[in-house]
Amino acid sequence: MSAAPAEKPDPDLKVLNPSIIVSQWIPMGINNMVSLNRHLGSHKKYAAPTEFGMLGEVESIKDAEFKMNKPGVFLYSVDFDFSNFVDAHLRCSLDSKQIVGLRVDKSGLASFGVGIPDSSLSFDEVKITIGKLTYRFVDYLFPMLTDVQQDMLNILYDVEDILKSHFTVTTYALIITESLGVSAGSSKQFLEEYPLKVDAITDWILQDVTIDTCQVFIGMRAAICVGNPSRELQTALQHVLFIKSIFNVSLNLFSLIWNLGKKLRLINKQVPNAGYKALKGFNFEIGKLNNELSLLSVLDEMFQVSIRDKQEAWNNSGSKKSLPENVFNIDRDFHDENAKTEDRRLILKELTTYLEGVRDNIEQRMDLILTKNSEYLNLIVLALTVITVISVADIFSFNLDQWAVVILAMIPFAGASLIYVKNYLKNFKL
Amino acid sequence: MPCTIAELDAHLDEDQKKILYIYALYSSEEELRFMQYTGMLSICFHLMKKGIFPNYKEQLLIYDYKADRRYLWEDKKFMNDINVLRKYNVLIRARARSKEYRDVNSHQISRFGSQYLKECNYASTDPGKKILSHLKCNCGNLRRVVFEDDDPVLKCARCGNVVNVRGFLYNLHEPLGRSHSAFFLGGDKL
Repeated sequence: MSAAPAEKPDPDLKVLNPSIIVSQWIPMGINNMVSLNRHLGSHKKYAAPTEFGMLGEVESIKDAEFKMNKPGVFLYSVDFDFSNFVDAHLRCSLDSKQIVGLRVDKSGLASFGVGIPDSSLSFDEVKITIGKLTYRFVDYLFPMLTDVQQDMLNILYDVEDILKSHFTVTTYALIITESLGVSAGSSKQFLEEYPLKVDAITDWILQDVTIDTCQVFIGMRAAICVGNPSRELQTALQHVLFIKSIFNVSLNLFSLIWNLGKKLRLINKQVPNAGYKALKGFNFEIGKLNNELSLLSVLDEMFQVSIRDKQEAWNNSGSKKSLPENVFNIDRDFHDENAKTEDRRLILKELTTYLEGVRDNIEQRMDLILTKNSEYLNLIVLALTVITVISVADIFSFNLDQWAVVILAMIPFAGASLIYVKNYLKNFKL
Repeated sequence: MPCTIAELDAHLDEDQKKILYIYALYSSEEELRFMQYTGMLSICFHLMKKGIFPNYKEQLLIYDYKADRRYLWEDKKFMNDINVLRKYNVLIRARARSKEYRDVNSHQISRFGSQYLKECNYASTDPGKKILSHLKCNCGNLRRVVFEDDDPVLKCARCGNVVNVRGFLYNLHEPLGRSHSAFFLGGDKL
């Protein structure tokens, strides 16, 4: 049998002095954006940070003193526009020197960014940093959000409590690095010389582009920009972060709709043979699914608004005009996302109708069971009446004439009972 | 890509043969048995730690773990090896429906793959014997892969004996580690 082909030695690929940004989409909108800036006191330009996201709740605001369960994080606004965005420095404690950049904008794109100067990171180190920053969304950002936003995230990730569900969160990362430790004239040349290398960070490579002196590799989970990007390129990369982050959300939403449909179909299949108790359970379940469906529809609408906002910003940007047409497929991806939202809207509509149908089926089956039970009870009462009359006659030792009267009286009664039994079997024999 | 047993043998490297053999242990086209991709990754990670796959480096990648997404090990050569096996029709990729989750990414060895391993008597080769010795329980039963919350485990269905595949899932709660500062992407803001 043949021997394994000889392994080529690995080139020394490293990520030098990288800046790493990890993004995800959260339900935001202009009201939440203004509220966050207002609570952060962005306009007051405080010299000290504000603590946010402590776990627990103030029981009564009548009491001046209160206690929370877990400390939060410290935010200091460094740039903001009341209704559009905030850039803030985030620290875990007042004396921490490890600062993470947090940007949130009204479209719902939330990002953590760190610059790691004087460093040479292995690909695994980069991925682990991305993973750790992803977990920080749950630890740092989500506790700051309103109850309604947290509920929406629970729906989006299909979990009971998003604050405990670190590994459900999906993010998209951007790594801007001075160099990968080797030189190549273009992204194409780099991929020819070092195939299947940067894929380890990006998760496949969907697109590679060389713009000015920058080489950009875009994958399923991350993008890498090698070089010093211009302002225009940075704007385009912001939109890449958005479009790739919402790609994950879009997949999640579709998956949720699919799961919801599956649950509904499963219930509907069980309805014809279910007993009353099981039907009550189904009714409860349908109520829950109905709530989920409503929240999902609202979430999907927020998502659509967010996509429209960001697409408008992209279309109006100088970056779109100055960079090559459809750079990084941003335009096509926006088009696809809009088409997907329309598709989901139709499926949601269909599911709403289907849910009503299942609910009707459950109610009809419950009615049937209740009527059947009531008729069954009537039958028993009739039978008991006949037995009682005969027993009374027997106890009082009726003579033949008296028995004849009883039997004569019982004939129509017995006849009615037989008709009743016949109808019962005809109507309720399943 | 149809080819003969001899041609196939010339095209596959040792890693690919090992992977195919592991699939033969856990799946079969004839019996409609499949192996989840994450399960295969767990086994290969375990075997890599035992020195069975010296060509693989530790590389992490986000991948499916049950219904969630977590950091998993997936070497790019491993990914390529899987694709080579698929290209030669010895491995079948399948997406199966599940009750809990939308679909499950899985593979099974094809009839042609089983025939190839049988004809070259792979089970009696050194790598074949080593692989089996790491995956078999002391009682002789082949261990199954179970995705526990903390780690995947290799569990013997007969005697319940368990081997944890440690290090497969990375602890992402740890501090970032490197000295860092805040970073914001420039360009136009919304």
